[in-house]
Amino acid sequence: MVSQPGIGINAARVLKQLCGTTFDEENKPITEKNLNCPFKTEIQAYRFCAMVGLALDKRTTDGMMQTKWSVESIYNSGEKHFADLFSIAGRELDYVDWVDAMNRCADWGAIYISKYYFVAGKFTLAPLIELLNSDSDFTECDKCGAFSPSKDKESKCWKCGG
Amino acid sequence: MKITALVMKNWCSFLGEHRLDFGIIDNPTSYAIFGQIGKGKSSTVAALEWSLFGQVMDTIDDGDDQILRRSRPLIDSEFYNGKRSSFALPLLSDASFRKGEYHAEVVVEFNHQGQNYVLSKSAYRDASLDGPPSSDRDMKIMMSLDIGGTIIKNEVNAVDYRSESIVQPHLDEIIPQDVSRFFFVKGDAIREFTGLIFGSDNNPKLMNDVNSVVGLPALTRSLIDIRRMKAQEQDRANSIASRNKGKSDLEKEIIGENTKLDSIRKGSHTPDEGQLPGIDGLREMKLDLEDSIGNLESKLKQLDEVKNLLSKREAYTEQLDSRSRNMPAKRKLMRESINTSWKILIQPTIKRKLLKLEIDANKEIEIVDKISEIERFLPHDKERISHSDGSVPCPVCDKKRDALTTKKKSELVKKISATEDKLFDLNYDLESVKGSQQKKNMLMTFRSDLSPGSISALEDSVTRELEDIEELEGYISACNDALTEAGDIDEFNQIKDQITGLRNEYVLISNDLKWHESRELEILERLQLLRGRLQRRGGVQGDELKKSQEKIQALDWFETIWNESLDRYRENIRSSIDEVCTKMFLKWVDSPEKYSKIKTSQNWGLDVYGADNNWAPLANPGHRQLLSICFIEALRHCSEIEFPMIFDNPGAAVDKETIDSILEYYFLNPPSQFLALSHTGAMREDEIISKFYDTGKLSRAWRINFESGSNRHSKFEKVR
Repeated sequence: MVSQPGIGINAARVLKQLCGTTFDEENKPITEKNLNCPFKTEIQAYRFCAMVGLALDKRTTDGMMQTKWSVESIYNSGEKHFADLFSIAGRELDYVDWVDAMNRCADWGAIYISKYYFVAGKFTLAPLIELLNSDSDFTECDKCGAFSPSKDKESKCWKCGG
Repeated sequence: MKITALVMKNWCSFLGEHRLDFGIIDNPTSYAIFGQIGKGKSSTVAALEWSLFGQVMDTIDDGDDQILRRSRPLIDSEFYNGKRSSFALPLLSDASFRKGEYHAEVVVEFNHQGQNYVLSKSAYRDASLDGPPSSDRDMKIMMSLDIGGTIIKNEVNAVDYRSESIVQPHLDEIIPQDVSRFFFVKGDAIREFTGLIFGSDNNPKLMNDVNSVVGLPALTRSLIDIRRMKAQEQDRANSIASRNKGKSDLEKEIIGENTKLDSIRKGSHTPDEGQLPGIDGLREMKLDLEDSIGNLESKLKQLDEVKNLLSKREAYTEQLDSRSRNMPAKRKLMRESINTSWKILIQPTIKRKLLKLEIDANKEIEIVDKISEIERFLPHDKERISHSDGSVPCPVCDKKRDALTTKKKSELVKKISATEDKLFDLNYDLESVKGSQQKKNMLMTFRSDLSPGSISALEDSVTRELEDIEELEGYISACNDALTEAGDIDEFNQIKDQITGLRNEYVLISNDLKWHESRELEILERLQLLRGRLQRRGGVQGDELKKSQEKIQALDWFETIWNESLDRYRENIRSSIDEVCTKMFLKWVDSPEKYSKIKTSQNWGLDVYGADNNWAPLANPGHRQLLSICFIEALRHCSEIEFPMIFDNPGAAVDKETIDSILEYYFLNPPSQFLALSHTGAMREDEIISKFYDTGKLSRAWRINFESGSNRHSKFEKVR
């Protein structure tokens, strides 16, 4: 781990949950792992969350400087091509550093997933994948912040019905 | 055997078919055939010999007092073509051969021991041959024998056909070829017998044949059979004695097997394992276990509710285990799918970005073109302003431009300022779209066609599975709660464990018992086998050996008796032959007072004794031939073979008076059938007819003559 701008503490917790770590009421990790978690390693979960943020063109806006992912940790995980991806398709205008862009997308993505796709201690990611793969544009719910496909003006939020 | 008819076709001098009917013969009967030399008398006898024995022997004196015997062929092309050939002339008529009819046939109808037979034997050219046959190798023979309506027949090669013929063995039974010569008393062939007179052993075959006639080989064979039987019985007795030796071993083995059986049934004690139960003990233990299991099961029944709950819990646990077993693989599959889904997530973004980059790339080209155009003319305008009058060469055509007026110069300064502003804006715009094509190419590497549908299905499946597992865990938990309330699970489990333990023990004891029972069966079978062997060796062995030894003694005695009898028979038959031979010789010889007796030796040599009872030399050839005839008659008389006596011009060296006396003897005392064939010199037709035919002693008589107009084709004419 390298200390530099990265994802926040909450997102880091979500990444651990996505890889099966469970926490007690005091937010401490407990020994028993959730075997039905969707990812095996944190880099896989991190990459997935970053793509969610990228796809929805969202990022963490508040200044958070928790440590997590650096150029080295991403490169060492064999994910070198993200430099190109983020410098072209990402936040190249706002963030010159693609790692920073990726961290902020991942931070946002992790929080978004935990808000809308983590129910009763269980992640259900397939609906999110299907949503993001659809050709239509997305609409962000004014009430709850969940994204839905913007088919027509009458369509309602899948999460809160608003 | 009595011949009733003889038919010859294309046989020697008989061209075409010729038949001799001997009529129905009930009593001993005589026949005569008259004919001059060369008319066909011997050919008639040859027909009988060929058909019955398969060969016709011809004999000549080789001039060195040796008799040459040779078999007459069916075909001899040398002879037919007028060339010098063997003295043994062919049997197929030469006229027939020249006509191209290569077919001769002899049919003999006869009666033997009340059964009628028709023997037909025909020789013909091999069908595969085109031209005339040159030797017997080109000929085939068809033999058939009609035995009272049942016909047996087969085709054979003419050479060495006896082994192939299925008819010949039947004929050999009726009249063996070896003894036939004693019934065909033919011309000079009689001389062959004279060799016996001096006790010569030059002709062992003849001596063997004599033995055959008097039945000695059969009797000797019987002696050999007795000896063989005795040897076989001796072997058997030895074998029984050898079996006796093994009896005690068998008894020991039976005792051993009985001990084993006892131990299998009642158990045994070993130093290592202590007392081991046998079949009896195991059966008791099995029954005890059955009782105990039964009691426990009835107790268990009383705890039915617990039992049901336990079995339910067991079923749920099984289901849970089964589902849990599949989960890791499903989870792994789902994770792998989700892990590759990051590309799917950004496809719409990529697509949108690519569209934007496409537009930017075109825009970049457009801006670059515009900048290039401006940069081409701006320096020229600037040069005109800085020049004294603005007359500088045109950058396109190189002509000098007109001089600038003050007004035009002021306008040109304004234009330059506007163009520089535009260039600044264009460069600013270019900065925002620069490198779009390159970026587009890079983004293309993130394009993916992966479908998110499969991930959804997998996640659903894992979710369902987890729900099911949860449900099952709920059921199990409910069962546990119910069991806690239901009562004494410990007791139930204890009983169940006891039953399981007893059942395991029951299986072990049952297997042990099965092994013991199969071993018991094996021992019983072995004992049965051993007792059977012992019984065979022991129960009857004494009697069997005794009987065998008695049989050997009996055969031994029989052999001695047979030997003695054989010697006695040989002496008796020799004595009978001597008696008949002496009687006939003294009857027919012209000076009987000179002789006293004829005696045969061990080798059937003939010794003549004079009136003084001393051995007398028989120098006269006529006397020797006469003695031979006497010997033949003695053999015929003493043997019990019934066969027609055929007298074909015998005893050429014997004087006519003696021949007359021999003929008279046979005509008046014929054997079962007597046929005399003689030329007119030895047997005058008118004399014989008046003396025997008219007195009823001669049944039928024929004369052989040539066909009218022919000097070589014979035919039979009946006399009277």
